[in-house]
Amino acid sequence: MILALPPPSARAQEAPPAGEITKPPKLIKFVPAVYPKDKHDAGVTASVLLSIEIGDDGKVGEVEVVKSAGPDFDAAAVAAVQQFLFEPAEIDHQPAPVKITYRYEFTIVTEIVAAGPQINFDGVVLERFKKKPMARVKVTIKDLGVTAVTDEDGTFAFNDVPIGPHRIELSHPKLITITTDEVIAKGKRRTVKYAVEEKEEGVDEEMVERAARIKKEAVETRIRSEEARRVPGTQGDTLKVVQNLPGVGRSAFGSGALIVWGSAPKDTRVLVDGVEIPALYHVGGLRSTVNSDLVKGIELSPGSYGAEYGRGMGGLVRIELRPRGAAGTHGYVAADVMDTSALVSTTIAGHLHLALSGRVSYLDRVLSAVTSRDVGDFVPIPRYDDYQARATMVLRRDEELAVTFLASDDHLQRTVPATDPLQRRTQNNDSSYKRLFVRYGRILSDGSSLIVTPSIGFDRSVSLSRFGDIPIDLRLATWQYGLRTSFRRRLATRATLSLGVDFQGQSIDLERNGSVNQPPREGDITVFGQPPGADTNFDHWHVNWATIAPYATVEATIGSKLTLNAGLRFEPTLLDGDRSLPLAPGTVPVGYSRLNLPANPVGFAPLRWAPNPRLVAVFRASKQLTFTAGGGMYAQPADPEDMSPVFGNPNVGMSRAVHLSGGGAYKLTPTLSFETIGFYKRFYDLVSRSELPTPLTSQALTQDGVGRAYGVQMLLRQEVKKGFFGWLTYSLIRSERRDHPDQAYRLFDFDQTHVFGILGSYALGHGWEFGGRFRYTSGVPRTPVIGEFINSNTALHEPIFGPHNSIRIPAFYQLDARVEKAITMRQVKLSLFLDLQNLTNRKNPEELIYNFDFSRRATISGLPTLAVLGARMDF
Amino acid sequence: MRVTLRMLLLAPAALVPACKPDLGAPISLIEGPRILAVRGNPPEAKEGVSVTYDLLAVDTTGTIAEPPASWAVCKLPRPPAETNSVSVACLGIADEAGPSPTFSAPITAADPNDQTTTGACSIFGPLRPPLDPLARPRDPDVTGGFYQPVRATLPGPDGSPIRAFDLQRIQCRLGSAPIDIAGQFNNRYDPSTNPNGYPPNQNPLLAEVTLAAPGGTPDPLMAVVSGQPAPPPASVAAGQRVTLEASWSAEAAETFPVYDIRTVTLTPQREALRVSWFATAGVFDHDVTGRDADDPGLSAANDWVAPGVAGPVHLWLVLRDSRGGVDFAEFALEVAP
Repeated sequence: MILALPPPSARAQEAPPAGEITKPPKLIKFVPAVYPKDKHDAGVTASVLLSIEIGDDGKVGEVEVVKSAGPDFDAAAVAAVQQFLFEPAEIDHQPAPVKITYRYEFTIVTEIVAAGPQINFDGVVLERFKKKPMARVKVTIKDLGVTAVTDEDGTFAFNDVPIGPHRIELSHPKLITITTDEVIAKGKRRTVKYAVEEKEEGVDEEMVERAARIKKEAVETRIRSEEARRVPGTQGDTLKVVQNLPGVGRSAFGSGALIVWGSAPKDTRVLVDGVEIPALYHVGGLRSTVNSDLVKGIELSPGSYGAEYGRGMGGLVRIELRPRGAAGTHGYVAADVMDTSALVSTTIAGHLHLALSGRVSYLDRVLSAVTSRDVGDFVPIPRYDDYQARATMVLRRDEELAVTFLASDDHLQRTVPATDPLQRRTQNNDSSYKRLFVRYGRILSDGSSLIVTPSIGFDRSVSLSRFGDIPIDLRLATWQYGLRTSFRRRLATRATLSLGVDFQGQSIDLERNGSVNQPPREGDITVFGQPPGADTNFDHWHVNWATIAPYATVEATIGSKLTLNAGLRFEPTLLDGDRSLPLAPGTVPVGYSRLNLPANPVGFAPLRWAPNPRLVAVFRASKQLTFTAGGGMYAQPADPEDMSPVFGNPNVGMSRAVHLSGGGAYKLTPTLSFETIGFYKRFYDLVSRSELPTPLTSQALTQDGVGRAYGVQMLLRQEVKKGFFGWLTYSLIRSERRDHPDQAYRLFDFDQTHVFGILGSYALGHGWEFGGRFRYTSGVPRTPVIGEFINSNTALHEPIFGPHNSIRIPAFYQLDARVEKAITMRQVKLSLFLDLQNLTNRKNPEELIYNFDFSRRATISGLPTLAVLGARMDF
Repeated sequence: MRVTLRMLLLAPAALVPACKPDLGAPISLIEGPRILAVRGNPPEAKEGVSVTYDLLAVDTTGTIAEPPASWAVCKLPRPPAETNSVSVACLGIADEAGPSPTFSAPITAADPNDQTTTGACSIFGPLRPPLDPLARPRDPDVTGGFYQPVRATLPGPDGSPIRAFDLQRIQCRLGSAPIDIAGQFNNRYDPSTNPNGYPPNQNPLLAEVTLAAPGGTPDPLMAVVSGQPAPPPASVAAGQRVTLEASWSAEAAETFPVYDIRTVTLTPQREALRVSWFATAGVFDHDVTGRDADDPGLSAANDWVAPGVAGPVHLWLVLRDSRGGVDFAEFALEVAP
């Protein structure tokens, strides 16, 4: 074959008057000239000297012939060069237009090559969801050190790639570098399609078809918002999908608690764009507190998460908001049995995007109209609302600013009338939170990124209850302020460094009135409906705390298969309280200030005061098989509610935990994967009630509890393919606590041995979609009643308890279904859905209840078949 | 949106009301031997003062005369980790007296000559034990009261014990209050220094119980008194709904001072009164009726539906005030065919 070969290099000739060329232009797309046939046949060679203008985008502008080789050679050379593409030159590190001279050589080379195409590896890179071509993605064959850059069509090509396996790397400033393996076969052209997801830098959520993603957490499950909304039983609420993920226990109806890998709900943190919010769900768990349409994705890390996050011993739920909406004005209005919500978003002047959304509920009124009063007796039905505002601005290329406001309110008012003054019950709960945060993100020219997120928030919780004339009151008002900064930079081809500071502070004002053992805490032995203790006290206290947590993580790829993500997090907590002893007449309140250092719970003495270590290792044994192991030490500041000198203990400090996990994932097909993870968690310095008959003053709580949780979880997941997606999960978990050193381990109050779930959704076409979900969970433990006695003063029988948490509520299983029909009319899409919960009308036991003298036991059932019918109009 | 609204109206129809689980007979139905009340007299006393206890024990044949109860005074406080009104350890202490229908014992007092002894106001009340000055004082109930448990035990039909606790109110000093407030409180029942004239706590008394057929005039019922000839039973038709009403005197709901830790003041509070209804047959509308502290009413009514089978029915009423005071009475009914 006779080829025309280009010259090897070009030279910058001219530069703008100001500045210094810091980077010459580099030819990244060469187009061969058409050799004039008569000259080729005649064996005539030539050289054409050209002057080429290269824009700051790397495209070729004007081309002039400086030294001609004849009209036919000149025309061919100019035509070819006009199709060249360069990496733009940089002046003072900024892309800039330049003019160069370029010599195009027309030479005749006779070469005998093997059969097969010269381009034997090519493909296209598409944005995963919109299927939009991704331009300027560097596609590098790592073992050869050659790179191609995708053009505007997202295409790339390589010539004559050697036969055999090759490591391919895709990189782009808006993507985390990802790798995959390709095998070039003899005589065959390998054409691939890579689907990549654009990301906000600093968030680990890239997903590549055919390329295994590099995991930053040892265990995490990520669900896209579009997928989550279709899960049956969630009523279109994206964030409710978390309850269906592996490792997550089922919360009792009406609680909405997140029980992750046997951890207490209070120990799991929920972050929205890195800012902690106090509640993922409204009271009762009926809805999430953040509008689903603002959410891009959800990630659940049940444990062993990285050094970027802390202050929690349990799991981590990260909600990532959408960076921007579609151009123009869009929105939706939706309504169902529970609530109505709406969102509107618009683009102003091309670079400013605004979104407003809100929701208001009316389920309490609907239920009170159609159900018996008993439902309200057992299951609190809250009234809730939430509203959000978000503005995102593109300041310049690779620089964005987003301002977000989140607010959520819950109101629960319940009165259980009785002719017995002792049995009259009222409950008035109000809780709300507000968050305002700014997120500044910048991707620097070298690909490193900077994110700064200052935030401020206010939480309010007022719980006023009366059981007869016994009060159970708790008021909290919390100001929360934070600043999260992270800087991420590639140290080398195989190493990335992340540095950051995670500052958070709270100022909490608390007031409590009632019994020392109310509200109940984990580990309390009680039965449903048992009146609170008659003893009452009152306290009003104030606590400030702040943590400044610097952290560092290094992600390094060792060899071609092993990736390590090692991190350290130093999390000292400054605590300040206004009183260390109960108020006494004639005495001056004495406060306290102290610094709690993040002592590691295990390890050699010198390391006990070292920063909390975190480590994740990912070993890609093959294209399909990946092994993961992770672990870390975690610390959690004391709960201010526990720091009352009257009801608690102002001296409680940080609780700590060690997480270990390991497992593997196997990709059965590009969209079907199986993953299994084993885990072990150990908890230290847990707070529990004093076991002393007469505790010391300000020591009603002690901190000598420990715990452990261990188990295995499995996930078989089919990502969206031909309209179908679904997953099957199973978790085998055991979680235990020991409140005091002289006691034996007992089951954790929320322990659920078996958690099984299977769900799927299928788009039938013509706007029809059908989904189903089945769940099975073991019942949570309860302490049996083995006897009783009569309290003559109240005329009530009181229970005598058997072994702590030695029986369980019967198992729960439920079948749910969802049908949706979407109708598109020009710019409007109308969706109607029917979400059927508890399709078989099974009386699922939610709690044990006893008769007056505890001689008979029965169960309180959850809601029967519930049809949530709703409509949604998108525009 | 018209479609949406229409569907919203249809959707609730798919809801099925949840059901309360069936837990069998109510507390008001006497199906076997039970202790319905334990009464201490006086219902409030200082450390060392002797209190006499009796109890109302019943079975399906009526009040158990001379119930063979065993008695014990518990001196063990309830740990904060326990959610019952008395420590589980009080179930395991040895009996002090019995079998006897009554029991007298002083409220536990410290020996003034022995610093190691502790009185009830330190064990169950607001005072710190002398040898444990850093101990957390007990919290009062909403009436400002502290209580010592006194246990009464009867042998049950299957050999298992029937246990009841009277929480005997202890007259303690204020543990932590300004001197002037503490002085007023500690002398609250002393007529010479108590300008408000708070009476000492006494057991309430049932004044009268009436029975009225629908639209009829209430007829007073005659109480069955142990050791005296049984009065003629009131007659009720089988399946008939009647209204029973228990009344008490104005003095039954006493007013007393409560120390409010929030406002650091003594606040007058009035007792609430509750009537527990029991019968060997038939169905009450309510197991307990009563009057709140701010309800000046002097009676509590309850409807009772006579059983469909003719025969004698025993009826008991237990009147309780919110400070541990108790009164009770038995009445005889005859259900006519």
